[in-house]
Amino acid sequence: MSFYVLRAEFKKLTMIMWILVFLGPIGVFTLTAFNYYVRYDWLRTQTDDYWLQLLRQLNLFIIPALVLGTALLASIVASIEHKTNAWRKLLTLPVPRVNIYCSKFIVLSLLLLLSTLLTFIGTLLFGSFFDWEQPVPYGAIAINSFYPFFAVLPLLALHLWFSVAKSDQGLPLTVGIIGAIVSMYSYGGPEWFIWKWAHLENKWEIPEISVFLGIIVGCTILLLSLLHFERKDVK
Amino acid sequence: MREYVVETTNLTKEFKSTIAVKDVDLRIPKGAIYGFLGPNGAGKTTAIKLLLGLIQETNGSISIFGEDLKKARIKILQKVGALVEAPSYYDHLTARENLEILRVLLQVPKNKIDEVLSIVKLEKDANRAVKSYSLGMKQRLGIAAALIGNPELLILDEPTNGLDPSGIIEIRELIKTLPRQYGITVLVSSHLLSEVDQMATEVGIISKGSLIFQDSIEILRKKSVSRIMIRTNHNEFAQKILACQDCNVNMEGEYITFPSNEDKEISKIIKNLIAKNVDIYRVEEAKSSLESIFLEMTKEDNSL
Repeated sequence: MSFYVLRAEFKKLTMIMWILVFLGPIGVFTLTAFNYYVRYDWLRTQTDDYWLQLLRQLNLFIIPALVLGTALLASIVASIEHKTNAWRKLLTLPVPRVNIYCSKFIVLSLLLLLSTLLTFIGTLLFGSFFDWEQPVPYGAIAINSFYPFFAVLPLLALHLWFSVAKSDQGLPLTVGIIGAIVSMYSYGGPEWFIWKWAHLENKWEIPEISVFLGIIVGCTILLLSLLHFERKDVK
Repeated sequence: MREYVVETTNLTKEFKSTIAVKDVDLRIPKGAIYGFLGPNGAGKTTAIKLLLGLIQETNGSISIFGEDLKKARIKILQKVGALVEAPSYYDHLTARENLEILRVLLQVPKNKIDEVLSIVKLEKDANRAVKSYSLGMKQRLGIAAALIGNPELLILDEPTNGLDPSGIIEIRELIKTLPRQYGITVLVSSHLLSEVDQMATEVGIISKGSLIFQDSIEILRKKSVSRIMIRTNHNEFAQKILACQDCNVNMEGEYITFPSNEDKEISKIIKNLIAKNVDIYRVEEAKSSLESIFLEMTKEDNSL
């Protein structure tokens, strides 16, 4: 993977994409702040482990935000090329199609990773705002912030494929929005259902399995979409 | 033997229900300005996309710079600059930022950006977002984008589309200088013969997906020989007289026609007719323009 292709890809990013990357975590913490403001006393009575409870409460919003963000970012990255059919210019450059497609996937991954990093920092700040007098569970917060990123890689690969293949973004966005809603209620769903993987919940009760599955299935879908992109006729 | 930059053999592209390009054998000589002519929808853009590897051919082969496009696509594209149909650009970025992306991908030095901007005269507007550009400016940016990688083969699909007359002249003059100054071979497509006529050295005419003419522009011009038309009071009799004189005589409606000749020959023919007591009403010279030859060649395409 050549670094310069990635550099060129970063130069194309629109303002709205950067806004989304920051808006996701900001939205999650705003809603959680509201949640805690309204029913903090009741929440306190429900548990002894306040940090663990915070993670559970945050996950109500983090998972749909991550699923929706994945779909939106993938759609925007593809739209940048669809808008004036810049594919026609891009793919006549002496750069292998594989590199172009992979660089888009990597750019999206990095953006999502940035969002999860912001979530990690945000969680620490949010929790330290209260005087819980409990040790900060850095490991659990890191798992809760970063693992879902790997678990949504299949969705990222799927949405990038879908958005690149279709010049009209109506359907990919609809799927993304429905996916975000479904992901909220997918806890306890069947193991193959990739929209639930971000919950890190599986019958083996090992979150690493969700991460592992996310990476394996994500790479498989990416590989299939590359095969398609490599031979695709440009309109 | 001439050296060809582009050579295709039996190039064919079928879409689901139609054949867009059929058995096309393009031959583009080095250093030529190759005018690729055809009515709208004849298959020009499809053929160009095939040359650039944007779409896969159904049949046939493409060789550019003597190498097979399938095997050496990336190597070939390093020496090719292209503008396919409407220019492609990122409209939220400025012209300079657009060119910068291409510069990074093509890995050419930074000063190339200013160089190509000045070639297409966009220096002043280079730092404005492209979405505020007029169509002509976008087209010029597209040409700058095609030139930025120091191409040896420049492929321009309808480059003067949407330009005003002075813009058309500028682009035409620019294209004409490229082979001379930089040794670039140019393939320029158009549906207007007059445009191709003013810059091309070679011409290929495509109609309904098939290449129906390919040769130098001089050969095409030779087809536009003028002919003399005469109307008399007794055409059949006059025709017999002329036929004896070894003229290539034809009847076209009310007129007798024969290929144009030197003035003396014409006057001899007329004198001869008058001597045989034929009344001559009209003597006209009709020149079939390149335009009418083109229409004649692509006639079937235009009939509804």
